Amino acid sequence: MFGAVNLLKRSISSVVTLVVGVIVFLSIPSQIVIHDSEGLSSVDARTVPYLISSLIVIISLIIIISEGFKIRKETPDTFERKLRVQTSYGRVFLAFSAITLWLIALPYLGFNITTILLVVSVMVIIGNCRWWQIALLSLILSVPINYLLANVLRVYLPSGSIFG
Amino acid sequence: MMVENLFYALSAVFQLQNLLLIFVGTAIGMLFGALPGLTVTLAVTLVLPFTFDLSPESGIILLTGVYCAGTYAGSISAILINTPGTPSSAATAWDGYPLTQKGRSFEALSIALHASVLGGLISAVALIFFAPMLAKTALAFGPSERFALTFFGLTIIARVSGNSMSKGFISALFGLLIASVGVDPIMGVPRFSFNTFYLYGGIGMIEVFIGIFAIAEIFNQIGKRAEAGGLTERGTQKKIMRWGDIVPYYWTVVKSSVIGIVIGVIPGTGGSIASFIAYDEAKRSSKEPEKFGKESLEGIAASESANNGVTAATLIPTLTLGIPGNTVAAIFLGALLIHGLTPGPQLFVNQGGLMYTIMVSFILANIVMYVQGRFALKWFDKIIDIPAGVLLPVILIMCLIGAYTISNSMNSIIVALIFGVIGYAMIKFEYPTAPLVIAIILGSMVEESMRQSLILSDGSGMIFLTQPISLLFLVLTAFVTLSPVVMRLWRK
Repeated sequence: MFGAVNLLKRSISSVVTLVVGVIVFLSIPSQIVIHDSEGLSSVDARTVPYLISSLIVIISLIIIISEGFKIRKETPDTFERKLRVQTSYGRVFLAFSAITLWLIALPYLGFNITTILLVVSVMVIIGNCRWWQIALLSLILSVPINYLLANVLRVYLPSGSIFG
Repeated sequence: MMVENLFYALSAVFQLQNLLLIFVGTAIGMLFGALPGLTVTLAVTLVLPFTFDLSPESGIILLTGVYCAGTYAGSISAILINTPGTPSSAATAWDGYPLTQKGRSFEALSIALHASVLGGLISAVALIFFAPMLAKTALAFGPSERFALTFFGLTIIARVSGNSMSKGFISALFGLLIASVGVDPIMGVPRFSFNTFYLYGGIGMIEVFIGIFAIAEIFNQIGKRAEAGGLTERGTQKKIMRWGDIVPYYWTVVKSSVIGIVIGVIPGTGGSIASFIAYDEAKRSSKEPEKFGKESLEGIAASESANNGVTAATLIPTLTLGIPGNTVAAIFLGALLIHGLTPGPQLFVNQGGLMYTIMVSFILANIVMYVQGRFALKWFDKIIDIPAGVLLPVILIMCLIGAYTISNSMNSIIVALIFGVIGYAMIKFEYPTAPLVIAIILGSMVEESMRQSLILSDGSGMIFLTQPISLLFLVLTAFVTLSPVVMRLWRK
């Protein structure tokens, strides 16, 4: 039981790549519709994706099996030591959520308002920033950047549908 | 005739207006190249309309400045924030960013500048003396030769996979899968587009790079509780780099520049493949190969001299044959046509003075780029002293805007964010990103040239073995891949 849990923990990334490989392989007929390939060559639009997805599945399986052999030789202590990494995944998730919310709100609220909110939230998530730094940076990165992009590069960022 | 043309070129380039244009051009190029998402192609495209009112000489001089400096400046963001400003600077980030993390960013930036200038100058000299001869080499490259060359480039994956070869292969295979998204180049059918119009054009390379390198690194720094201080250590690095400091890498720079020139003249290849092959060759022949991918100044020198070696060389088929080597060369071609000049062998006969003006302007652009670079490096180096709490939001907003500007669409930001998450997972599960990047850049080229060759040969793979150049590259691939294994067995 301990070995099976360990194997899953250790090879979770390979399990994911294996699943993705299988999904890609199975989706090829629906995602690459070939009407008439005769007369071109033996290699068509599906050949390379089939080859790639098959290799992803095979190599992922090889990694999972080799991890299984490695676990047999390792004591639980050494494995646990490897797993202990100082990472705050909560902060990463919060930062990801802030960017996602920015992305959702951007078409409605526009670049200036959403960017001020995004910069403030990311700086608060990172921490150790003074209030004036947060205020100054959020303002600098929104209005002036938007103005420069529009007037110099002719790149128009969303101005927000709420404001017409 | 050549001397007359050279004098004409020198008198044209050293006019006050043209000197000013070259200064402005290199400054614009450096700014665009250094900012993630703003590409050299975008810079040249934006500057192009301003050349309409100029003489052909002045217009080309301005574009040359933008092109040379933009290609070099891709290394600045690659070294400082792990985001290659141009795809051809991807290999620079492999050593540049680890050096920045160790507090040696100034050394990395200096080596990149010196190598870029040398690569650019060698390329310009090649353009002056060997243009017609090198153009003939370009004509010898058909689909089978291009396949063998790009396949040779792909084999580098095996040597940049780090500790786990199998994870490197998985990373590369996903890169190839990403490269296959979009309309199939031969049959014209969409692949993995999920009926989305945006995906018909494929997944954008720059969006992927912004995600995989920059956004993933931002997540990584946030996860590591990067609160106070800069993102890096403050090492005891040299604060002044002179030409003498690059002497140990001269041979690498010359070799890489030649690789850049040879690959640059072949249409449809470009700086990325040149820098990968030069990097791999430098690693293979280095006395310290173990430093590559960690803190090798030689690796930066190889990558940067190769991608700048491509700059002038890529204009050789453009000017002599009318075949643009890459997107920027195509814009140069457009600029020539706008001014009523038709590229081809006759251009050298009818417009010799203009041709030599282009060549001399490449040399001057590199010299100006060096002067501006020396001045700007001290300021660029200060970026890493900014506290992480301030720097990370700035980089994040720059990346998000950079992704948006590529296609003026929210889809590009979504792609960058998705690849940011994938890149972060790759860091956490120790999957190397270098093979993914190589595969994304070379994947479509390899597949397209392979299928074109097979169509030409009615499906026979013998086409790759019967053409001398493709056979040469396949033998080279086998040699480079198998020689370390054979040497290891021999020593045992």
